[in-house]
Amino acid sequence: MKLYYFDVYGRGEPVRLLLTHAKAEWEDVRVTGPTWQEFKADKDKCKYGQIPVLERDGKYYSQSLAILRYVSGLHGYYPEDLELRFQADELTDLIAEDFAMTIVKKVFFVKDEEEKKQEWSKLLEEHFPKHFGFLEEQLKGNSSNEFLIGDSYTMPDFVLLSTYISHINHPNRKDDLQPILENYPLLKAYFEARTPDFKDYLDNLPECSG
Amino acid sequence: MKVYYFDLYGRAEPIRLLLTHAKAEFEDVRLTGESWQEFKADSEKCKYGQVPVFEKDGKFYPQGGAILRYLGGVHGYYPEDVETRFTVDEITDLLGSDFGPKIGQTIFYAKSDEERKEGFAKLVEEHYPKFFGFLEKQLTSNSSQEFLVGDSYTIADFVAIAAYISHVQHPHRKDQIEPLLDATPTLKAYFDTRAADFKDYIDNLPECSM
Repeated sequence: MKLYYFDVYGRGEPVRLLLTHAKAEWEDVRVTGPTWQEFKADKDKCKYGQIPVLERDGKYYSQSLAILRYVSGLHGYYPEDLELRFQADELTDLIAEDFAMTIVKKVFFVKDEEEKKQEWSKLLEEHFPKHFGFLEEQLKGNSSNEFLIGDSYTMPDFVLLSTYISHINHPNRKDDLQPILENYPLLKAYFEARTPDFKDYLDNLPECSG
Repeated sequence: MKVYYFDLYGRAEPIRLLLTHAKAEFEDVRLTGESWQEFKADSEKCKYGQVPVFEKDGKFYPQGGAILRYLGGVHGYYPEDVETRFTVDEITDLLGSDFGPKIGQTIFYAKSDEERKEGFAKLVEEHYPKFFGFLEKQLTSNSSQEFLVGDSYTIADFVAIAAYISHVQHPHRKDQIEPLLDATPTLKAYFDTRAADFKDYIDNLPECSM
C-alpha cells in the first residue's frame, strides 16, 4: 500500500495515523513540485486531479474521507452496528469538515497577513471552544472517556488525533490552543491517554506547516 | 420520522429522495425564520446548531452525510462489501463535497447579480463539464449504466438525483446546463431513467432557490 499526499498533515494525516495503528505495511509517499505535476497528470492514478490517493494491489483510491472509511473497514475501525456507525460518521464529518476545513479555509488559504491574524483570533474566540465543547460532550456521554466511541479506536479517533498534530500540539499554534484546551478536561485527558500509543510516530513526525 | 431542514433542496434532498424511494413515511419539516431560531437553540434536537437533522423514535441525528449513510444502512442502499462501498463513498463525496458546494457558494455568496452571473458562467464552462465527465466515466465503467455503483440504488444515486434537481433541471439553470449533457450521453440517459422513478415527487417539488 502507498499513500500519496503532499508534505503536509492536512487531509492525509488521519489515514497515516490509522495505518500506523493498524501496523499495516505502507509507504508514505510525499509528492512535491515535479513529482506532483507528474502524478496529477496521470488519470489512472489521480482520477480527480487531487490527493490524497491510496494505492493498494494495483488499484488507486481517491477522495480523502472515502479512503479513510475504506481503510477503517479493512482494519476494523468502522463499527458494524448502525447506531455506532452513525456516531463514527457524525464525528468524522464534524471534525474533518466542520472543524478542520474551516480553519484551513479561513486562515491557511488567506493570503493577506492582517486578515489571517484577524481570522485566527476569531477562531480562537469562537470556533475552537465550540468544537472542543462538542467533543467534551461526546466524551462525557461515552462509556469510556479514553475513546470517542465505545472503548476502542474507531475512525473518528484518527481524525481527532490528526487535529492534535495539525493544530493543538503544532509548534506554531500550541501556545494559543493549549490554554483553551484547559477548559475541556475530558478532551485534554483524551489526548494524554491516546498520544502515547503513537509515541514513536509523533517523535519522528516531519515538520510541516499544517 | 422527521427530516428538519431549510426550505431548500440543499443537503436534505438526498435524504428526502432516499426515504421516498424506500417508501418510508416521514414528515418533511422546513424551518424558516422563527422556527429555525427555536430549533437551532435546542441543543438536544440540534446538537451542532446545524441542519439537516433526522428524528426517529425520539432520537435526533445530525450531520447530513452521516444521516444519509445511516438511512442507507437501514434501507439497503449502502453496500457491506468494502470495495463497492468505497466507490459509493467516493462518488457521494465527489458530488456532495466537491461538485455541489462550489455551485452553492457561487450562487449564494456572490455580492452582486453581476458577480453571480460571471461566477455561474465560469461554472458552466469548467466545473459542470468536468464533473459530468467524471460521472460519465463512472457510469460507462460500471456494470450497469442505469445506476452509479452496481445495479441498484445506493446513496450515491440519491445524491446525484438531488444534484440533478438542484443544479441541472432547476428552472433558473436548466437552459444553460441541459445542453451540456449532450456531451455525456450516458449521464443524460441515467438522469432521465432515474428521474422517471421519482416522477410524482419531482412534479410536486416545492420551488426552492437551491
